[in-house]
Amino acid sequence: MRRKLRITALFMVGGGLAIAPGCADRLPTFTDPEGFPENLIPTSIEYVLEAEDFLRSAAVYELPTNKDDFPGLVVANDFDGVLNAHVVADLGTFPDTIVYDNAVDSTFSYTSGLVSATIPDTLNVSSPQLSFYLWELVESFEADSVTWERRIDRPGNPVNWTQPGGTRGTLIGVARWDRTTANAVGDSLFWTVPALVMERLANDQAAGLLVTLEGDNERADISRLALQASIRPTARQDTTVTRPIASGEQTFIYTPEAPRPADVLRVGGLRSDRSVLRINLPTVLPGCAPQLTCPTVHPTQVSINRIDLELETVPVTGGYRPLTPGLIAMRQVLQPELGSKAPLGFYINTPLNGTGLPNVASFPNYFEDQFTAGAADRVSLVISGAAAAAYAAEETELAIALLVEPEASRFDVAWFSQRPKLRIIYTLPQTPELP
Amino acid sequence: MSAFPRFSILVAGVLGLFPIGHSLSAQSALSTRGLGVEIEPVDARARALGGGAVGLMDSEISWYNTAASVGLAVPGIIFAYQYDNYESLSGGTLTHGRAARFPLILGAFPVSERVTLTAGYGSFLDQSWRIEREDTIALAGESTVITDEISSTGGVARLRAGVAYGLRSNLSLGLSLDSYVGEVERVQGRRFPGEGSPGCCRGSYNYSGIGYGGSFQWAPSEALTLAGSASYGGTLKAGVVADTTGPRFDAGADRSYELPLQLRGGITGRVGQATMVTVGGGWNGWSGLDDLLAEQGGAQDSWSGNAGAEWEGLIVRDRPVPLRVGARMGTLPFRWGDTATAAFAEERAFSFGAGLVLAGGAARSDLAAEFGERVGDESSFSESFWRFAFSVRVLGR
Repeated sequence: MRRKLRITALFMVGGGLAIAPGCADRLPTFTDPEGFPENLIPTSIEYVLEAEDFLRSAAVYELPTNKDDFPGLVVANDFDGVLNAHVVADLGTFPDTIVYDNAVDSTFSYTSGLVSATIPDTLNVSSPQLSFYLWELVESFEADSVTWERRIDRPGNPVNWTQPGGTRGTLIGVARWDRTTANAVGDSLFWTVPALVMERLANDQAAGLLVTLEGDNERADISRLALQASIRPTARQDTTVTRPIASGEQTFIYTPEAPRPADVLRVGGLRSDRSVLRINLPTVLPGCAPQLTCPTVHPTQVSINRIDLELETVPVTGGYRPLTPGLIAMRQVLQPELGSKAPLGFYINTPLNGTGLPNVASFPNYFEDQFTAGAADRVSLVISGAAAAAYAAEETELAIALLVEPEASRFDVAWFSQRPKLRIIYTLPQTPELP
Repeated sequence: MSAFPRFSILVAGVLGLFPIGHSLSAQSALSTRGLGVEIEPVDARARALGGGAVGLMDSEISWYNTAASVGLAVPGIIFAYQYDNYESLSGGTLTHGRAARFPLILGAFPVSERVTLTAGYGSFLDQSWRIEREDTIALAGESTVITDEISSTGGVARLRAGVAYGLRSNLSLGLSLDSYVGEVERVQGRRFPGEGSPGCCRGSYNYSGIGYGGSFQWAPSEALTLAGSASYGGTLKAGVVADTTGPRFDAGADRSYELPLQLRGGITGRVGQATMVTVGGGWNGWSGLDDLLAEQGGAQDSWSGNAGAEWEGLIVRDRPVPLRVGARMGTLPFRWGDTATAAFAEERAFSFGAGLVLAGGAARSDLAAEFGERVGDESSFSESFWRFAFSVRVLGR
């Protein structure tokens, strides 16, 4: 038995030694620059095509989405000298009775209220310090149809605001927000509502609340408003209880509508603007560096390192320029000839096959300062994966939709020139030969 | 169950875990040169004796000396494991590497008192390495860091069948036939940021070919053994394997190499009741490839010399534990550098080891450690290395 154990141990030791270096298996790599054969240094070429050489068509489509699909509320004042937006809120149903000490109290009184909202983590704000004004809204509105000019905008029965943007009553309070405040409360907005206003709201003597920004050139996204009432029971005048008030209709009204220039590609916004590019991938590429003369090669005869669409940004007007960086979703368009009804396919993947990287969707990003007046910048949309797949399938046509997801998730829009460029970076192949 | 089947199961089990003979990495920076680094398929006993694998006393299962298998009473098998670790300095750049492999698996089957058949597998050429250079190029108006890469993964091994014949009680001859096997994948290209490996270009080659060998062993007295072996590699063919996955590029061309005549010899003498001394040497005619490998610096004939001693005076629990020391030196066939002025490297090493008889003599395990250096022109290349070898011989005595 001992002999068998020894033999077994011997083999186990040998096997372990064999495995040990395999755990760190890596080819010995020599990095001495002098040791790399000069004649084997690859040649990479950057080939840029202008729009007329590859773009079949560029179109912009809108979806039937609107401000109701937007997850927040927008407030603006003279932003970019144009845009105004107010939040109008009907804060729901106030209770007729409360139960306190197991007794129903229908003659309670309001001592105050607290309206709260938050600045979402997206920090879609135009300035690091903002003051939000909460007003009593004098005239009621219909949330489904309210606009900047009309509090009810039903066909055949329009009713204008006395004061466009919502007729204001008394100023209830001002909530100041400072981006540098680094705590949870720092992202919150609070307005204290006096007892008198609470009573008016509860008795339908006030139509609701209105939130505005009053400083010049300001815009911000905020969350929905919430109201918490402080109530004094009739039987206990020394006691205050708090009750949340069920949320009612809330929306925002704005002017003007987002511009629709015909000569730009548009992405995002409340209408979920979507740009669709139909491109022809090139079938020939230069076979050598630009300063040399040589025959062309087919793209499948080279090692393609990267293919991207280069979009030139266009300043966004109307106060709809992005305030924060954004992501563009790129999806292949199936049956692009169907136009706006063409179904969307897979996301465009960045990595080329065989790179060892995860095959994840590509979401090129843009930055807010690329769309300001006077800015002319570029955004690269890497389409290497889709282009490589097309070449592998011996196809040269590619239709790509540029959009923001989820739909209507951004108030702002990104604009690009309708003359993109196609940039192909590739490396000429070598023949790995034995000595 | 007898000892033989048990050991067979163990051997098969252990060997089944690993890609036999395949290197997990390279054993020297010199694998980048010429046809790579030659791997000697020797067991740990020969390794401890300075690499002297020809002319050892008594019947042996030896890759280099098929004739030594005459006289084995029962069939046997030997396999060896080898672990290499090296550190190379070239052009001011330090490179570390390590490798593990089974360089030798060889069986011997006596069919009569005079005739023994052998069959096995031995490593031959290690061709695993990678060269990289980083650079920055301007693309899309931005500086892009790229990495150029040339890599080679694989090597050549030999499948062998041999026969040994005892002409007289103290003289035997051996003949062997080798079939070259293996493959190598070459990658040449450029990696861009985000690319794990170059998108292009890969070339794979399968090796094939037939080699021949002959050997003799003569024991003029009980205290002296002389042996010699010669092998002629024949033609090593490297055939292109079509790549249908990457870009359509030229697949490269088939290659063939006339492998050199390789000679080895050794003398072993008993100089005391428990002491044995061996000396030997070898010569390899690699210069025949000098023209073919001219762009890589060319090739030269290489030689080697070795000496070692074994002392069996140590007895532990009634079992002899042979202790061994050895040393070797020699020249290597391929230049370090692409120019004809670059130096050929020399290799020097000393070694020691021990053996252990197991299972009542049915098996013998050996251990060896070797420390050495490979030095070219000292200003351009030097490499230190150590090596651990372990082998087991089951029966075959």
